[in-house]
Amino acid sequence: MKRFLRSREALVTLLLVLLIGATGLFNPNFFKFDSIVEIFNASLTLVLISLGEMFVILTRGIDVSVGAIAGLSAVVLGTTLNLGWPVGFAVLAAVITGTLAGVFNAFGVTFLRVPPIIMTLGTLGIYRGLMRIITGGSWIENLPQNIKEPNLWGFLGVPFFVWVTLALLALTAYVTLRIRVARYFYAVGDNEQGAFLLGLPVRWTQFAAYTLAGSFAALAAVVFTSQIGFVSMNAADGFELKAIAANVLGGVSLTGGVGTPLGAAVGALFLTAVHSMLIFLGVPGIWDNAFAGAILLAVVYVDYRVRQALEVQRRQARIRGETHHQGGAP
Amino acid sequence: MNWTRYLRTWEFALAVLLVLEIVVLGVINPVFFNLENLLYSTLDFTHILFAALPLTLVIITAGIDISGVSIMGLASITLGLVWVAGVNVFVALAVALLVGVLAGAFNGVFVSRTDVNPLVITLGTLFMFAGLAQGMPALLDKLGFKAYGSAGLAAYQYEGITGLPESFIMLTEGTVGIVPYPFIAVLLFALVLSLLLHRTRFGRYLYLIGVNPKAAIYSGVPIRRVLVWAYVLSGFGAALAGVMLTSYFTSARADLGGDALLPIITAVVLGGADILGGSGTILGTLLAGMILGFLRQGLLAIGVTNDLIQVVVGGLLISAMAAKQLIHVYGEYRLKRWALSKKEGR
Amino acid sequence: MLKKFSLITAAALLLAALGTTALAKDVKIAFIPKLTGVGFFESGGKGAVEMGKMLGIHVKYDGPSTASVSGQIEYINNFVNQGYDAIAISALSPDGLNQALKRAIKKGVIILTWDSDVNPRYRTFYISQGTAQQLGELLVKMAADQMDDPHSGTKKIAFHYSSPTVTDQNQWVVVAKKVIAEKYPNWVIVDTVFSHEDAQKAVQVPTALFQAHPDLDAVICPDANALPGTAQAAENLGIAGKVIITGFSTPNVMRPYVKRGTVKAFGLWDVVKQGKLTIYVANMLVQGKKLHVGDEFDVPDVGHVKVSPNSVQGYDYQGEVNNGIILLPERVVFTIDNIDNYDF
Repeated sequence: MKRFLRSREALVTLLLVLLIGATGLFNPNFFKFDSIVEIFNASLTLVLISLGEMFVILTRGIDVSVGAIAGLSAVVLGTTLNLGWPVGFAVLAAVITGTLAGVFNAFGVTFLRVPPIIMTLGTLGIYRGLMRIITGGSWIENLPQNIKEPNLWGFLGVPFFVWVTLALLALTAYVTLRIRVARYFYAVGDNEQGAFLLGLPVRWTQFAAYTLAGSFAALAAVVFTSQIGFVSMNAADGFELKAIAANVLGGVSLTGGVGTPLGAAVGALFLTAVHSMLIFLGVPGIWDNAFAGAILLAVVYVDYRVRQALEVQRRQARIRGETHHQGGAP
Repeated sequence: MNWTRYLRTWEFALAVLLVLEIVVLGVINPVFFNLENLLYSTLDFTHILFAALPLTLVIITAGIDISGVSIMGLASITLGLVWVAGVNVFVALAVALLVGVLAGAFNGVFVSRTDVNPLVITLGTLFMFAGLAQGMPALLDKLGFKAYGSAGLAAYQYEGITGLPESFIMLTEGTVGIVPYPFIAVLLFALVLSLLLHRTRFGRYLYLIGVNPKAAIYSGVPIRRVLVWAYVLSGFGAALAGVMLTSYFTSARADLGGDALLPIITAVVLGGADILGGSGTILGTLLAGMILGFLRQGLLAIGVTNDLIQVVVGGLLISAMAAKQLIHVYGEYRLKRWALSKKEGR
Repeated sequence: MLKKFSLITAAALLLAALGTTALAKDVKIAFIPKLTGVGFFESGGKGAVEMGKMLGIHVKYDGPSTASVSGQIEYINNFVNQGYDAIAISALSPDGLNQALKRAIKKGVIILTWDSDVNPRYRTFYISQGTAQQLGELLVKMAADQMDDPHSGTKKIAFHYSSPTVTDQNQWVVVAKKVIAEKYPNWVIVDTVFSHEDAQKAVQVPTALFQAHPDLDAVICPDANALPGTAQAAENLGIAGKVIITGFSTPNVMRPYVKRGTVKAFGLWDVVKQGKLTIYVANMLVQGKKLHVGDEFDVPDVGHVKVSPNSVQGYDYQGEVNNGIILLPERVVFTIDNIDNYDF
């Protein structure tokens, strides 16, 4: 518990709660259960993409094609649905597409040894291009209503997809903390040479990371399509940068080996929530970007100062001889 | 034979690729060989080079600056607003460049004074600068500045500021022979940056910070100052790109250059810079930027659709890198064989 | 002697044959959208290509995949270099393309604009869907028509479209806001929000808007992403039908929302016809026809059109010949009764 409070994601969560509180004081409508639920709902796509991206970043890699993979999967989902496929099969097709796209990235990075940023910049173009070639450039509209229904299902007033995402988040959190094989992601990212010498399957761990990024992006595409009901050609454009930023904001280190799924999810929630909050605060739409940027900077700055203060405190405690271990590793 | 060393560099491979590409595209469509058209088409990607070249310095330090595309718009609208207020257009240009420098300095100070990842910082400023650029006309309106245009200050944000003087438009329209001014300018810019990076202490510090920041601190490198200057140069380059686009578009707009982010980063990494820091050259970025730029123009010229161009460019990027890695692996293999044979021979 | 003669005739015949085919086949017209991959522009492109087939000329539809001025300039430059006879473009910026267009005109290329105009000095005709005044008024009218009594009580209105830097949408909204201030002083504009052509944000933003202002009466969305996104948000929140949602988008994407009653009326113009008309006029000009203000003509599949002066759009500049605005005959308000007659 104490370790959680000291962690990066706890701090960001706290700042998020503070911001929500401040917004609520200004506009009581924001404190309503529904408003909070909708913010969760709106952030699902980014949360899922960020979770997949996390595995890649943990291994000290980077994947800038996740937005394009989500777009491509959404196109496959929409196209197969409009061909009359049952929802289950169409979703399966989309997930397979995303996974295969991830496998292709993985192959390039681990076996062709193309640097991750180049590989995924390349596939970013390829997948976006494919998307338009499949559809002939048009939006996919007139989707059957049954793909939109899951979005309206709910339990205890919380939408179905929020539950699904929470379940996935809990599962990833459990797996990465408790399952030995999943710890490989951390080991490989922390020290590739060391992991190799220990006999860990370094390449296959990286392979799995990019594949998972693809699968999660595809899941995001399913949620996205269900929530929005049409697939535009710039679907999930720019989500790659937001996903990376969400991870870093939530304490997942770009130099590999550090971070948790919860952190990635909180980061994504934060980046999405800001835009909704500004509307509740009555900030004119024209200033949306400026404020969103300023708030992001303020948060990372406060986070930095607090961590520094904690560090100073920790050192002083050590000097005073309180020797109990604080736990460096996550 | 010292010169063979150069044949094995990545820059040389890029130069070969560039020539090859122009020849192949020209054979498919001879129109592409028209030297005047070819040089004129550089205007369509010079702004990417202006921003990518100094970004190389930032990436060498293991940093990144994605806010450049917003600085372009910010510089452009600043130039326009200052000019509209009655100031000489070239003074306005200087103010716009100054804004770029200040924006870069903001990034640099934030990056060097905290341990927050530069990607997050510049994502924040990417939003912030874009928002400032969009809102600036409305803000001036609120502050009670008088509108000079017919539709009022707020209209500038969506109609752009036009009617810029001919002398300013000539900055991009003018040519030396058939070479457009901006292309000459970007080559000069590359030369200056290249000297800075490869011939000065500042340049060596950049590499050192990228390879091993701890070692840099212990050896007394003024890390903070060096970092700030790297980001300042990046902001300055982006502002130059914004000014160039303003002249090329004959109007100052808050949103120009917004789609250049991925091409800029692609140029830098294809040029040989490692996103994790410590390597990269100006020449590499320049050549890579030109390869990508001419490839796009060439494919457009032979009638390839935009969708397919993305696929081709992506495929080429991956193949080029995969080939580089394969050659590298083969080289290692040869080296090992050679070493082994020596051992056995002994 | 005879041999020589037959050779000459053969050559002449060959030349003539080449000449005629060249006349019929060689006309090349480029039709450039603001960006590809958007239903609206794709449909315009479809109309343009269809008209090209009908006239037996070559029409190419292509453009940048993101809305960027530099992308459009690339396409203009390339089509000019490839020797196209005419270029029709929906301009992203009223002045941003000037230099590229100037070069095109210098090289003998005929420039037209459609959907979104440039400075009239740099084009022959603008094939317009309607003036900013007409479209801005239409936006307000569609909202007002759905109210029981638009003139009484406080009505809370919001605008939702793509971004503060997009030219035409902002012009319409400026007009709409002016019309509201004049005709409906009881309407309060609570917010103007933007979703930057991001479909996810186009749902998130109005969701927050509805929750922040639970008593909102109408949202006006003159953007292809914003209108379906707002409708979806209303359906997600279960307030569909209780709030007026109107704006501009294409019938195919809006059909389900209209069928379910979430959106009762929205507007647009027949962009397929706009594409056809544009290519028809472009071809006339390539063939050397001279058009003057006041000229009228019939266009197959489109109807009767008339050349209006640039002043209908508020310009001062007016060229003598081949310069002006050609308005589409009509704008359409789509409702549940007529939406099935349109497929684009």
